[in-house]
Amino acid sequence: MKAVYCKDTQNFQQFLASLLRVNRRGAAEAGWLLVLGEPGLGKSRALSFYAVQQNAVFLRAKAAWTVNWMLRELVTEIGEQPALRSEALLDQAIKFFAMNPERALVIDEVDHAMHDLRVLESVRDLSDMTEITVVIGGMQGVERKLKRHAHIYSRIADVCRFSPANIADTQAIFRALCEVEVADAVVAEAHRATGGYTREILNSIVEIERLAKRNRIDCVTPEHLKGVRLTNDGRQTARGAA
Amino acid sequence: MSAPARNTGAYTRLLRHLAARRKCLSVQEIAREMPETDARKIAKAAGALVSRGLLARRGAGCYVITPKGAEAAASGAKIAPGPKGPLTGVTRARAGFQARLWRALRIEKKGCLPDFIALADPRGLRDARGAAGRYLRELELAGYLKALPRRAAGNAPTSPGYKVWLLVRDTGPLAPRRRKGAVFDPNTREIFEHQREAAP
Repeated sequence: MKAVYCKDTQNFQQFLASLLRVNRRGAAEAGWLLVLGEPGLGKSRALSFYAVQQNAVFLRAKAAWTVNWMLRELVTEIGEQPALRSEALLDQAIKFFAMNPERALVIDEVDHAMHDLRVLESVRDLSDMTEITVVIGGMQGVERKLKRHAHIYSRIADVCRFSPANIADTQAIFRALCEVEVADAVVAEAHRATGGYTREILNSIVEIERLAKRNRIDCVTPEHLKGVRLTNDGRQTARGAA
Repeated sequence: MSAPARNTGAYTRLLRHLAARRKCLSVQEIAREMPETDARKIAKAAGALVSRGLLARRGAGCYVITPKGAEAAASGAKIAPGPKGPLTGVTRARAGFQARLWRALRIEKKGCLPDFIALADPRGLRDARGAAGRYLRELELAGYLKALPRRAAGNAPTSPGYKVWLLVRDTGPLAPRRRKGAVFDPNTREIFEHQREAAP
């Protein structure tokens, strides 16, 4: 599989559009973007790619996070020696983002941070003071939980929902990543077998490449896929030629 | 006594020339109007003055005075080559492929070479795989990365699989830089020599 990130999917384009809306917001403190989606749709990958490209501060929420732990991780991430007390840690973070307002804060798997609302409230304190962009990623249920806390949910300027890839997305992913030539019907079959889940599409590309290289196939067609398991779901095998 | 700095006169002469002309001129046009200075020195001086905000580059190779530059010329300031400000030792984060690779390593903590390259986005770099492979190897030799015993499956028939790297030393956001036989870490300002590889 080619070592590139496919940006031509509707999910990623929507993510970029949401970022633009957040950056053009009217209320300065409402600079949060909530990215939602089921596992396997490419959410974390998109957040990681964005963080690398834009040099954002990236954190992954932990199940046992406390305010102090989150702030220590944040301060370590920005390259400073973390203080001991949460008050001093927040101060360090505020000073850093005040000097670097163009840097966004990305927190993936924010579901883990919902057990102690003070963690997100501390992030809110930080973003209120510094007016930075905060991108949080989580599964579908997290929006419902956040709505119960208006003082946090009101900071969310936009919600970007990741959905399963459509056939055009699957074709774009194959075009960008697949190292072997495949027929359109193969892409359609992979789309059907994977249900549009990006993680499964990538797995299917690896299987197809392996098949093509081992059998020296120039262009993979549905006939070649008969009985080949394209996904991790053992029941889903390629239908192949009728 | 130290040797005089090169191009001291050229920077000031160029600034004053463009302040007087008040229009966008290319290096060739300036060279014709300033025959005492060759075009290469003019191009170098122009680049330096742009970086100091005294000139602006409009389009390819066309330079015009900025308000700050006009003010400096009017005040008779002499512009000399050298540092633009005090040398504080503060290292700024870089934006190149190596810097992005380091960021990808810090975010993912564990993965294969293609994963890190994809996140770092080669942006048309000619041999991204080679460049990334060499950088990761340097980091491994300096003790930042550890190759895990199990490899990720490759898809070529004779592929031994991809090495899976684990980031074991994360010193901060600035990418460690290669030196001969070592790696310089701008986060801690330490130099980590290449460690001898463990015997199989």
